Amino acid sequence: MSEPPSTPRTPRRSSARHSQLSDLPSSPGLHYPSSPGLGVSSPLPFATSPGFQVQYQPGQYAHTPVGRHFHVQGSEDASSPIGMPMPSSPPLRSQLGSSNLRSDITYGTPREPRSVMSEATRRRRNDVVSSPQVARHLAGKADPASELASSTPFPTSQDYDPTQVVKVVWGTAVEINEVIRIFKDFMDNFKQRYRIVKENPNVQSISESENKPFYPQLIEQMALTNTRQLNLDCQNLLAYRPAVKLHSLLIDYPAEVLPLLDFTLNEYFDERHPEVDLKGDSLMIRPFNLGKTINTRDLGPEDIDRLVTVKGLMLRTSSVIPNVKRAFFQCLVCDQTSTSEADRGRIVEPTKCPRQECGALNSMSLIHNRGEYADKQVCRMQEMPESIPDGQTPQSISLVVHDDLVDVCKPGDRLEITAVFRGVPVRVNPRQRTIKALYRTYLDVVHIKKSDKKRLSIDDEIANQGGKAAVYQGGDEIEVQSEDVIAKIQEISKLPNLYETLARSVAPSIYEHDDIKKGVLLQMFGGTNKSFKKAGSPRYRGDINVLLVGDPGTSKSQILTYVHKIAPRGVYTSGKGSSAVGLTAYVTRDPDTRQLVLESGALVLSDGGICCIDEFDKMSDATRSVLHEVMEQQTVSVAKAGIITTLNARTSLLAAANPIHSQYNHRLPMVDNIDLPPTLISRFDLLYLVLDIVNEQNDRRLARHILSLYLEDAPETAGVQVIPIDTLTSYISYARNQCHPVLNEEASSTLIQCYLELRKLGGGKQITATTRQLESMIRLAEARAKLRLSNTVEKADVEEASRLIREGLKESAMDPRTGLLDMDLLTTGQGSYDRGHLEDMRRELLNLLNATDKVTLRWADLLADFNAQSTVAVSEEQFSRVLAELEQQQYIKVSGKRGLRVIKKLTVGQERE
Amino acid sequence: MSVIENPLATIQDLFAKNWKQDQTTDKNEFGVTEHFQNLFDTREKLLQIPVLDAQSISTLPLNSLVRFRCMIQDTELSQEVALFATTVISPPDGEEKLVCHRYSDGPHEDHHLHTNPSEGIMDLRNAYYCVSVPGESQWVKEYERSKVASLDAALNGLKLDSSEPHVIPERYPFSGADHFAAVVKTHSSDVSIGVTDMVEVIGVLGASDKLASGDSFDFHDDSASGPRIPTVHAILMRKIEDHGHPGLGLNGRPEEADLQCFSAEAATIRKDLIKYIASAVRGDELAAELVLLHFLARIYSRPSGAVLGKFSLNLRDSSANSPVYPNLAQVMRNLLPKVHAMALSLQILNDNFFFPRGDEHLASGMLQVTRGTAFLLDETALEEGTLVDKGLKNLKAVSDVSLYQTLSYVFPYNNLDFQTDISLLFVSNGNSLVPVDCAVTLSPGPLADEPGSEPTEEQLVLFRKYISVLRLAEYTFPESMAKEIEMEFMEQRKAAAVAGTSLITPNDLAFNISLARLVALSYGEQTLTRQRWEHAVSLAKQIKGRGKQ
Repeated sequence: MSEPPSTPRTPRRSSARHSQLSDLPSSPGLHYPSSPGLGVSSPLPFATSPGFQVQYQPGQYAHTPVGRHFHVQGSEDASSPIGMPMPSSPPLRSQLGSSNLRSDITYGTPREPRSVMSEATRRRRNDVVSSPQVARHLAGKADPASELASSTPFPTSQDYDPTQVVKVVWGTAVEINEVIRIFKDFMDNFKQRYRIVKENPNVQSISESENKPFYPQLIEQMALTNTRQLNLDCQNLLAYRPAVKLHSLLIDYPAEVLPLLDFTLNEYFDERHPEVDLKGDSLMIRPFNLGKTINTRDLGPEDIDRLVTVKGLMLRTSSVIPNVKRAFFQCLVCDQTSTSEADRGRIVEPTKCPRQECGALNSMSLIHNRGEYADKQVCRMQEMPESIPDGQTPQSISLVVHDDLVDVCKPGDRLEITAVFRGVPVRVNPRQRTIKALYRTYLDVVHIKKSDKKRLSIDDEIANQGGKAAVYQGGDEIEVQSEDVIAKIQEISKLPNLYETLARSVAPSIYEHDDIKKGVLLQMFGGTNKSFKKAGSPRYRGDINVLLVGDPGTSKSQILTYVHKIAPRGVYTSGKGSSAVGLTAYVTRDPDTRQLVLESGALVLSDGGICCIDEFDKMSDATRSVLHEVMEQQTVSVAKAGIITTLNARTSLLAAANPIHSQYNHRLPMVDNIDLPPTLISRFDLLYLVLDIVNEQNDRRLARHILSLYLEDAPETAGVQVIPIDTLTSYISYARNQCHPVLNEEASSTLIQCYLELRKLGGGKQITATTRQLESMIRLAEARAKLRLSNTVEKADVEEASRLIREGLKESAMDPRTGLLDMDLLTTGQGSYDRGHLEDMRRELLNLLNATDKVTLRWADLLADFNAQSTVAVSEEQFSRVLAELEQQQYIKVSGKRGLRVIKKLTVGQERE
Repeated sequence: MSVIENPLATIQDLFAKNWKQDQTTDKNEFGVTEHFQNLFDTREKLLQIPVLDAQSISTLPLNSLVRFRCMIQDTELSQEVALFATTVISPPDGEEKLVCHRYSDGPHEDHHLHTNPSEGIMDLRNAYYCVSVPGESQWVKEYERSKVASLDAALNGLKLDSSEPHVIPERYPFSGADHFAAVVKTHSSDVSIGVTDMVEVIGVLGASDKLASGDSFDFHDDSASGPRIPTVHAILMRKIEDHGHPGLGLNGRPEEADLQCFSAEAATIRKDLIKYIASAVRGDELAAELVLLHFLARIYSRPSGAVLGKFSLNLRDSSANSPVYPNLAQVMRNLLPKVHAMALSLQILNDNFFFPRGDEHLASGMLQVTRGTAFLLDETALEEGTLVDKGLKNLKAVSDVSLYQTLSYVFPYNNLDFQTDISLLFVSNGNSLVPVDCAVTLSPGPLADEPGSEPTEEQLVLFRKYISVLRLAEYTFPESMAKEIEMEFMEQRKAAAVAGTSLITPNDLAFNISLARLVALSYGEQTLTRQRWEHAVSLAKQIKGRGKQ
């Protein structure tokens, strides 16, 4: 066994190899036991479960089987089963691709069906090796990679040299030297420029860094950051024409090609960074972005043992399972020790003591704590909810995750996984001898990418606030794919009537209500979250809260569901259905572990997003009181079952409420129309009334709209030019993350002016605007600036913000009895008009009470009587306020609840005493 | 027919004839489907195939051809990669041949697998969990029976069933109810067949086996637990329209002759039928008419999010010990093919699941029923108490069905909405807890509590057909009527605004239009006329009037 030529400078690694090799039987080809079976009798059920074999363990490649290969290679041992000169083809698959153990699993499945299914492909692929002319001729036809290959203007294996002695992995088209050479060349020479040019041939400017070889940069970064994995964007392979072939090889024979790539990478890395001590680890290639994603539903027998990219939603993960990498055995008779490497998930238990003098049979016992273990995790992934066909229930598939991918994803994550599709035989029914008629499939994961495109990503700022920066990096550093998205976003931002167009695109199926749409749109953009360290205030919320009040059937819920659909971490809940615990968080016992766990409710779940609450007025008082905290402090406090904690709930609220008496009463102010405490109402930045108003034109259109449904015509939509939901989502997401607008000088002075104007609106007596409105105005102006993708808030933004607030106030804080704006209506529930009348009412009521000689009166009767003699309608609210005052002054006593309240007159005599 | 006893032989013949291994033939194309389709091209021929059910399972031989009518409860048992064909050596002469295993459990015992199993060809198949149609009325079952009377009699004699039924109880909508279940394995990738669809499967009866739980993290046989469920390897599988009336065609279109006949007789049948229903609702003819219209309602269109045709009904009966619920339940069981009546008590709400929820397995919920199933819910059974979380969700599920005719299947991290067509009829003391399309307060008629005369069997047969046929009838809404209605609407609103009375809302308009459709259909008419429109409007007025008392 000679040293590989590249290792002298890395004594650490070569010595490791030495020791491995010295453990091996004399010929590497004999390393595999002749019969499958004999798993280690380990007490770890997962490590040895016979049906479940991990065939591919990235962590091992570089220094175990592959390392060995290349020793063999170096020595040019022609009889070695890997380095077979073509065209001789012994009836064994090479050790790289298979062992007897492995064939146990792949019985019949992987190779043969594929060769049946895509006969032509396979045969030709074998031909590629022996007669390249034919291959060249046929390239681009029937090849699985044909579309990819033909999409590039180059023939696939152009620089192939037929005179070279070719070594392939048997049964595959993998030529070992070729793969290594190509990949090395790729790493040396690939520049991002190729990729950019390929995707967009008209690019003019290419930066300097894009014109430098990409992977040396990336590898240098790996050396600096101590990263052990290289995420290989497979689109890069396609963009570099000598490596195009590698792409299809990688997809077809990942088990063969990946170890080769790993090997090459390690060599490459050692060459360039001999100073980096990997501490025995080896580097791994993690390929991703294969080009097309397959739905789990479409994975078929022909995909088995191929590399696939699948999207899905993680359902659950097992705990981390220690998987034996190397088992340590000791002879019970003579204490001789030996170790056994796991080969693709199996450990070969030595049956006999290796010491010749001892040679005891079946005497080797496993010493657990001296073995080496790798992390493994088994997960269940469900297909993306979007891709489930109508009427079908979602399908799920098992994933096996290894090493540093363990615990990368949590249940609930949306993922894009690159993995090797596997099949294992199941249900060998002893009664029926149904031998291997059934296979269960799973995915051996090689790369995980978290994807969440449909929804907005949550604010970077919020995501990183917990100090947990993402440890796992899914991509290779430089983001290319978002370029055109950004270009599109920029393009939209230049639309002449951007604001109106975007507003129209919100819930396009709803007619009009333009101001509401604008408000909701700005809410989605949100203001800037600030924290003033000097002032010591924790966080200054940038979230905008919006309340919609209106007649039933005016599509409030539709707006809510729309926002929920696109908002980051949007949660939709109905006030009626959710209790306080459902909204905040509650403590339960985990059914499995019997431990107390904190389960988050809607508000906590929407941290960093928008919480949409329908039927806001139907909420219980307890729930509302929680909202007070959420809306101002943006936290939820939980004190239950010994757990006292404060959870973040930095959420914007979008709420919808119905008026108390189903129809909005125009004669009463807003506060009297909704069953909500004024303190809560005042916490909303924007309040909108959505009313059903008689208007001939509107009515006609409405009637048409309804009739058209029944006439089976397609109903018209409101918008002319609307931006599709996906684009809008990414636009908002981009704006939220990129723009952190600051007020400029002019804007600040306008702001002050607008605020003063707003305060003046009430005519001096009433308070029309409080600092709350000022804050709202700032937030809205910031949101408007974000909408323009601008980092400064300008005068126009402030003006629009102030207009929106004025409009909102006009509807909500206008006292219909005086026609003036009165903020007190919102903050305390009574305007100055009320306060003036309260005294009158008290007097009148007292007179009324004195007039009757009954001692006790029913509450409702009294109200009716009182209303009968009053010229203006007295609301229950006002009435009870007066009663409360009288009660305080000990004139009366009110008892009972709600409709059954009884008023007891305290005698005048008592009172006088 | 030998093909019924040994379909696998037929399949193997077809396979040997049509399958060429060297060609990359599509696995679906060796003529099995067509062959069986031709073999059983008429209903009569189909009826010769024995029905698979709880009784016959014990007598039907393995690998025989069976017919199975069922509801699909779950489309995603784990996907299977299975052996499609292998080379086997038959025992007597050691002859090697390629055998197709597509429609069987695997290589037969007599077969010795070829030494090189990698010769096998793999195949992908889907497994559906199917259960007997929930809520089927007795008369439907009897109808089916009478058609295969001879067979049935023979089976009844052989009834030796004492073993527990082989079903997974939580996968059937109604807990505790007797039913039958089987796993149907199919190779069709027809995604139009979905959950709660009613299907008729012609296939090969396979072994009963434990359901492999795809949930388990290791892939052992041991992990499968629970009862052994029979397997049917589907050769033909077709969706049956959900009207449930066994006497009508399977394609869901009423026959022209039936329509003709009913358009003439509708008025009289209608009258009799209302009288019959009225006997159950304390002689209230208005309520009875509404109940009849409710029976005729079905979802016929869902244009851009709206649901057209739904008509959930709430009968308010304030009297104590109201006999309405049991009476109505009896009437509905007599008239409708698929009925489920239950008390909506706190206990039932709190203890059961109304909505299906899946983790790995899709456990059923009471509302997971085929389209066209009628629910009668008794809210008078409701008492004071706490509705726990589950109960609230159940109630939400019911109101979602009432409002949107969708049922949310709860999966971890996402809920999926499935469209339903379930008629909901509530009997309550006051307002129903669930929002309904139409609520009417009962006012007992003159013959309130006298037991009405029971209709004859012939009448019942007529009634059943009348309801099933007219429910499915096509209906057109003429443009001219639409114009008139539009004008009327605007004028009414204007007048109301002037007079300061309550406005007619768009919802009222929509209600009237859908009511008019049902009224027209109940008279056997397939277009709306002025007369029926006015009748509908007057009905709506009467309903409103009742509400105010």
